[in-house]
Amino acid sequence: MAAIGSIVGSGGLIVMDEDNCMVDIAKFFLKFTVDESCGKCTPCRIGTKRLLELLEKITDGKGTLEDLDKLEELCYYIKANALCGLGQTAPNPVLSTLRYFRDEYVAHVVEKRCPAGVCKHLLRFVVDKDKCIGCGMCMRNCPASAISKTDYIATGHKLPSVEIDPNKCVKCGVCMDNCRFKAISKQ
Amino acid sequence: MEEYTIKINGIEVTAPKGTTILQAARKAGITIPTLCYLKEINEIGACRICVVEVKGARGLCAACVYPIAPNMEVFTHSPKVVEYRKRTLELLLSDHNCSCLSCVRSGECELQTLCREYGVESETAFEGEKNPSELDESAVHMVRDNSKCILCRRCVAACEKTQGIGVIGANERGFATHISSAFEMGLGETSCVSCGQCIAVCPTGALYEKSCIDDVFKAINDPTKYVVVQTAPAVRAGLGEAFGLPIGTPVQGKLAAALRRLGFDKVFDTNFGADLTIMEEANEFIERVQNGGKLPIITSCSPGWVKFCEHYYPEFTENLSSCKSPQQMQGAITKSYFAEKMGIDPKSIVSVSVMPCTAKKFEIGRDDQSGAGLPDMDYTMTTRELARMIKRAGIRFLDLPDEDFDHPLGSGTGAAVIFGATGGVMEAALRTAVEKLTGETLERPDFQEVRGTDGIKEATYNVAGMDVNICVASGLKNAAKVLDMVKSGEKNYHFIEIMACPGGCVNGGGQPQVPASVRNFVDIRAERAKVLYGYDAANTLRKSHENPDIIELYENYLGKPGSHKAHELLHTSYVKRTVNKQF
Repeated sequence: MAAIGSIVGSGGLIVMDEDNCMVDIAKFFLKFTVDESCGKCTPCRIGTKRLLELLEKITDGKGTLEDLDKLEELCYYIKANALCGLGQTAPNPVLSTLRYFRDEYVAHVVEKRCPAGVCKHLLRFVVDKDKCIGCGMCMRNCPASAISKTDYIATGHKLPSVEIDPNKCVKCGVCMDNCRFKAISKQ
Repeated sequence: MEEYTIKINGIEVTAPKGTTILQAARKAGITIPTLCYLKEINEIGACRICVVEVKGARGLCAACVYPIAPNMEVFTHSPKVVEYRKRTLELLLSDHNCSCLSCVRSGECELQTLCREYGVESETAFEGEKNPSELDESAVHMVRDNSKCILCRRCVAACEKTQGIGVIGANERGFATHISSAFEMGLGETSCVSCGQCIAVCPTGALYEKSCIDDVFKAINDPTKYVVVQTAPAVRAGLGEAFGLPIGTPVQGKLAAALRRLGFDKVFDTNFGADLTIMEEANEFIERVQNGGKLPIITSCSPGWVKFCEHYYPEFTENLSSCKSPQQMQGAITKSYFAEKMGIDPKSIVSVSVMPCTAKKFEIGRDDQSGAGLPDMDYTMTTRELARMIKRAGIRFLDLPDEDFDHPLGSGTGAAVIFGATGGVMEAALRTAVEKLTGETLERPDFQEVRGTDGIKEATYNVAGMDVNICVASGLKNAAKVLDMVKSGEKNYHFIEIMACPGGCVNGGGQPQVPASVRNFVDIRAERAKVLYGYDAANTLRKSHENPDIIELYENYLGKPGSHKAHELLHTSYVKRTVNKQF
């Protein structure tokens, strides 16, 4: 497993599918090492923190292609320079995901899109107004009051459809889960 | 001893087993940069600036702690290593307050120097969160600015390993790690003894003394004030370094000239106060021996040591000599005897001292330090602060002529000038006490046994039929060892000299900072001490009681050592403190 560069964390096996964002997975493991860092050596204390911040920048949709190079470079630096095993292995999740799922990173950076639909900053919930019957189930369940009625009434329906205010939306997905007509999807 | 031959950058070097790559490289004429490494006290391999490539090793190795092995091949400055060192610096800068232009350490900062050497082009190569930081200004003598701290932990090592105090350490972990005291207490609330050894070893501007430069300039420029300055023995052995002179350059003459040009009304020498201290202390020792007083008597010249004793060994405060330190004695005499002699209102006198010491800033605010009804001292500045004053005043220090101190408080004997080195006070006291006890003249007043930079020195001298056991300790960890031995009855000393700083005042917390790259390879204590012993040997007067101005002071003013007047002006009292006020 190590030979093919698949070591992420402890050596345990985790089965993941296309609904797992690999950038997010890398971020998850990095958060762990940043928390666990004792703070003694520079590469681990500051390096892993900066690594995590770079990943956050990418999942926030603010990353650039240069950041990907910087990320990779910083990983190799930390591996070679950290004092103990924690720091030396901390960048593995990033290196491993960069190696096998670079396209996902590129999608975050270039298209500003999270292919797995996990990274909230890159997500958008949209209403298919022709499927929506205007029942208001989503509106009642939205914790952020981000959904309101529109003027649009689809053929065959009596009630106006709804729309989601992206500025208010907290990307929780409750609207989608509550829609019985599959009129809400994430993009 | 087994020797290994290794190759460093292609050069063959042979060094004994156990040598680190750093030391071996030095032998091969190569400097490997360091930040956290301090020989013997901070060998933690934490900063990673000293990493090198070792053929066959998995990652890079920290040269400061990595021992050499047979046939090892090391590359200290390969492109990869240089690139990685630069990256380490960039990461440090990403969590550093880069206000270098107004930083007290600018130009002498070890981090700044390395950034320059390694071609760091931007302070913001890595951007991100910075640690929140507030100045800790709670201590009277110093400020901690954690926004400039690089977490090398050299201060922690100095406090804990050298001084055995340990009031600072790393709190929290990971990115939030920072140096502070237990329970986030301010340094002023802890039992910090103000020795300033932490400042002396700090590579950046994170630790610095509270400066009184502006106040002193203001006093000098105030025509209603009569500003008197005195300078400690060790200052003449260290000040030159601030002007690019090699460690161990004597600069007494230039020092006096610089002080005069700064505009002080009188330029005095604390050597006078030191001679006076010997008169009183030798007398106190003889009295305690003859009258069954508390023994061992322990010197009280070092305010860091006095505070340490009060906090950690309060049962020994009765053993402390009641003599004030030379600085305070000189201050008291300035505002009494000197003021009367010159017909000056003592209230208009501003008394300033230049000291190799930060604990003096604590000492001038102590109780029972107002012999003439006014505070003995008004301001005390470190050697570093004086260097800054000289530079600010545009005085070309190196071009100055050699001048003398002013009379009457500017004269000192050879016994006084050695106060600045560990063992010096003891030797000076012995020169006077032996002559007084035996009534004979010492032909060769050298007590070699108490010289040198060893942390603890012992000797026994037969004086007038009595065996006098003496001990000299410098560095508070050594002081603690000695006191523990006295407490347990293992040792039976009559007279102990203790200096808070290792090597004595020459290595004080207020002396010019020496970068670790030099400190790790040169014994600065010994180099600076040589200056003082040189002045001693060159002086025609080598015993305090031979100082004509001291003789005159006693004849015309104080009477005799230990007189009522002397006690009023020159002696003090101590308090018992606890460890960390909060508890």
